[in-house]
Amino acid sequence: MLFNSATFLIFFASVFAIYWFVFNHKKHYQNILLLIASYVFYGWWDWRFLSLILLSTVVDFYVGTWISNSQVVKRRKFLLGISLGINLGLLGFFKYYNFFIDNWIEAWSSLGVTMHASSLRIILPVGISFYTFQTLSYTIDVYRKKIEPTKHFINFATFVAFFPQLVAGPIERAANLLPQFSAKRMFNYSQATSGLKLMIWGFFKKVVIADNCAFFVNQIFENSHAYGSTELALGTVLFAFQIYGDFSGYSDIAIGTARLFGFDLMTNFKFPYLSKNIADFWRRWHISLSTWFRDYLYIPLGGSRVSIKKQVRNVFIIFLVSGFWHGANWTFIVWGGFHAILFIPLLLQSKNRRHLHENKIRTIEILKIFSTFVLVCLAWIYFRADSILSANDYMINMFKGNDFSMGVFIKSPKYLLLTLICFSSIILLLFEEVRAYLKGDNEVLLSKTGSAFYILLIMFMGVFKNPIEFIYFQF
Amino acid sequence: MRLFLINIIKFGLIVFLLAQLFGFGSLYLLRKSAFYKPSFLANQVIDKEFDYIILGSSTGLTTLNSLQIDSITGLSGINLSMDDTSMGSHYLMLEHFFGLQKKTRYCVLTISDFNMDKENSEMSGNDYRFLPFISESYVYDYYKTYEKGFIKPLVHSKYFPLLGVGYYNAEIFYPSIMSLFQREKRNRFDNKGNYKFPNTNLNIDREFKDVSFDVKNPFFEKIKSLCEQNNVELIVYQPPIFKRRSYTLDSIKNFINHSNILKGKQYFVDFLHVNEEGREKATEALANVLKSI
Repeated sequence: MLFNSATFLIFFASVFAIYWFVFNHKKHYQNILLLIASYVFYGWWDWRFLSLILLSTVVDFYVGTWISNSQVVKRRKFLLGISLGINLGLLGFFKYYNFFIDNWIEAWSSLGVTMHASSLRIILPVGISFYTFQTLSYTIDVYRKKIEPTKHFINFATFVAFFPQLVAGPIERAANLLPQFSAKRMFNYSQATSGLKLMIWGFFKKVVIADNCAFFVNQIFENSHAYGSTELALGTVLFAFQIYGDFSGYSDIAIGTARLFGFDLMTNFKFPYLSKNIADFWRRWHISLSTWFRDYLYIPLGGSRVSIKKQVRNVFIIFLVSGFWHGANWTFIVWGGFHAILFIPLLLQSKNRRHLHENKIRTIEILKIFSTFVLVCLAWIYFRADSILSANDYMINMFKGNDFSMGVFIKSPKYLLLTLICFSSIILLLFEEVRAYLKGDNEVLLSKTGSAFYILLIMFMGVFKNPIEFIYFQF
Repeated sequence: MRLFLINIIKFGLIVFLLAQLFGFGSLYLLRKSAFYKPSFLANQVIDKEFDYIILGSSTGLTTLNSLQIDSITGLSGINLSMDDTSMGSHYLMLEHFFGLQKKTRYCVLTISDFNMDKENSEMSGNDYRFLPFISESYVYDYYKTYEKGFIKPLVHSKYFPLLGVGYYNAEIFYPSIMSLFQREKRNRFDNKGNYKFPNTNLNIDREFKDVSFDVKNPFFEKIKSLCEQNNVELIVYQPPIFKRRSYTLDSIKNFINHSNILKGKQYFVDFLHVNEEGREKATEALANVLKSI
C-alpha cells in the first residue's frame, strides 16, 4: 500500500477512528489493532512475505528472552548467532543471492572457467532491509544488556511491523520504540497537529518534488549519451532532490502518521543539503541507518579508539557496507566507497566532528554547503546509474563541457512548465529548510496557512495519474 | 480530540473550498479557451454548418488535411480528430459536435483495424479533454458509464472539480493557467483542426501483411446510430498503413479502404503515420472519392 494512494487514505482514516474512538484507553486492543493494520498494510503488497516478518518476529522474541535468561556467555553468543544467522540469512538470500551467484560465475569466467549456475527469480520483499535491521537491534541490545526483553509478544510483533515505518524506516531502536507500546497513550493535540503538518510536508516532498523531478531524471539517466553537459549536470541535481524528496518525504509521512497514533519516531533527515562537509552530511542523511551502523558495526570494530590506520579501515567498511545495504549492485558499493574517500580526509584532519549541532550559516559557509552538495551529487550518479560503466560515461559526458543546451528542459511548453515546477518547488523546499535550520528546529514546522498552501500545491502540482513507488521500497 | 476534530473540519473546509475554487476556475478557463479540440470547437469554430467533419485518432489527425480536401472538393469541413484516442472518444466528439448545435452532411470516421476489433467499451487516456464540458449531460453520462477505478475523478468533477483538475493537473490545470494568458492558443493543430508530422522518413522495414478485422467495437454502432438520428451520412475511412492491407468480411456501408494505397517508406514516419508527402497523397485520394460521392 502506497502512502500516496487513495487506499491508504481510507485505511489510515479507518484505523485512526477505531484506534481513538473504539479502543481509546485500551492500550492492549490498540496494539492488536496496530498489529493487524500493519499486517494488512504489508500484505496489501504481497501477503506471502508476511511469513518472513512473522518468522523474524518469533525468532527474535524468543531469542531475546532466552538470551536474557542465560548467564552463560557461550550460550548467549550462540543464541545471538541464531538471530543474526536467520535474519541476515533471509536478507542475504532474498536480496543478495543472485548478485553473489552472478559475480561468482563472472569471476570464474574471467579466468576462463565456464560455470553453470542459474540465477533464481527472487522477488525482493519490500522493506526487508529495514525491518531486519530494526529487529536485529533488539536482539543485539538484549545481548548487550542495554534493554530488558519484552514479555509481550503482541507489543514486540507490533514493534517489528509498525506500519508507518515498516517498509522504509526510520529504522527504530527497540529502546526508543518498544517501551512506547507498553505506555498508556492519550490523544495529544499538539503531537497530532504536528504529525499532520509533517505528513503534509512529506507529501509535498514526495508527490510534488520527487515525482516531478523523476520525469526528467528517468529520461536523462536512461539515455544519458543523448544529452549535453548542462542537461546531465541538471539531471544530477534533480536526482539529488528526487531521492531526497522521495526518501525524506516517506520518513516525514511515517513520523507524522506515528504521531497521530501517539508515537514518537526518531528524526531521519535533518536538512542534509545544508551540510557543510561530508561528515556533517552523514549526521543529517538517513540518520537512523548511519547511527545503526555506528552502534552495531563501527563501534564494535573499535570505532575511533583505535589507531588511525584502523580508523580509516573502519570508515571504509562502514561506507561500503552501507552502500551494499542499499542494493545488490556494484554501483551502490562504489557510491559508498566514494563517500568514504570524501570522509577520510576530514577524519585525518580531525575535522569530522566540526559543525556539530550548528544552526548558523555564515556567508563563507555558503561556499562549503555548495561544494558539499556538488560532491554529494557526483556520488549520486553512481547510486542512480544502472552500472558503473554507465555512471562513468555519464560523468565523462558531463565534464566534457561540449554542449550547453537545455533542450530536454525546454523542448515543449509542457516540459518548460514541468521544469519550472521542479525548480520552484526545490527553491520552496530550500527556503523552508533554511528557515527551520536557522531556528534550530529538527524539522520544518508549517504554520496553518503554510499547511493550506502546501495542500493546494500537492493537489494541483502533485503527480497522481501515474503514482511512483517510493525509491527506498526496493532497498 | 474534540478540538482536534473541530479544527481539522474547519481547516479542511477552507482548503476544500479553495481547492474547489481553483478547480472551477481552471475548468472555466479551459472551457473558454481553444487549447483542446472540444474547447476549440466551441469557441474558435464559428461556423455552424459543415459539409463534412473528420473524426479519428492520431491517424485521422495527421493523415487528412481538411484544407486540402476543401480546395479539391469545394466542400467545407473540419478535422476533429484527437491524438491517442479511441472509438469512444470519437463518439463523444460527435455528441459534442451535435451538442453545440452544429450540423454536417458527412462524417468521415477514421478507423484502425485494431480499434474496430475491440469488443470492450473503453475510454481513452485523453478523454479528460472534454472535462471542461462536464456540465453537459452527454459528457457526464459518458464518464459515468465508462470511467473505471476507485476514485473516478472525471465523473466526480461534476460537483468536485478539484478531483479531475488535481488528478489531471499536467493536462488540465497547467494548460488552464496558460490559456489565462493565451486564450487563442491551440494544442498542436491549426485553425482547421489539422496537424502534420515533421517530414521525416521511416527507417525500418517489415514484411507485407494482410490483416482482417471484425466490426466488434460497440462504439461503432453508437456512432452509426447517432449519425442516423442527425441525418448524417457516415463514411468509414481506413487510412494508409505501411505494408499492411486491412480488410473486413463484415459489411460496412461507405467504407473507403486506403490501407494499401501508399507503397514505400518515403510516405511514412512510422508504420501507422504518414509524413507530409504521404499526407498530401492520402488526402488527395480521399478528396477524389469524396468528390465522386
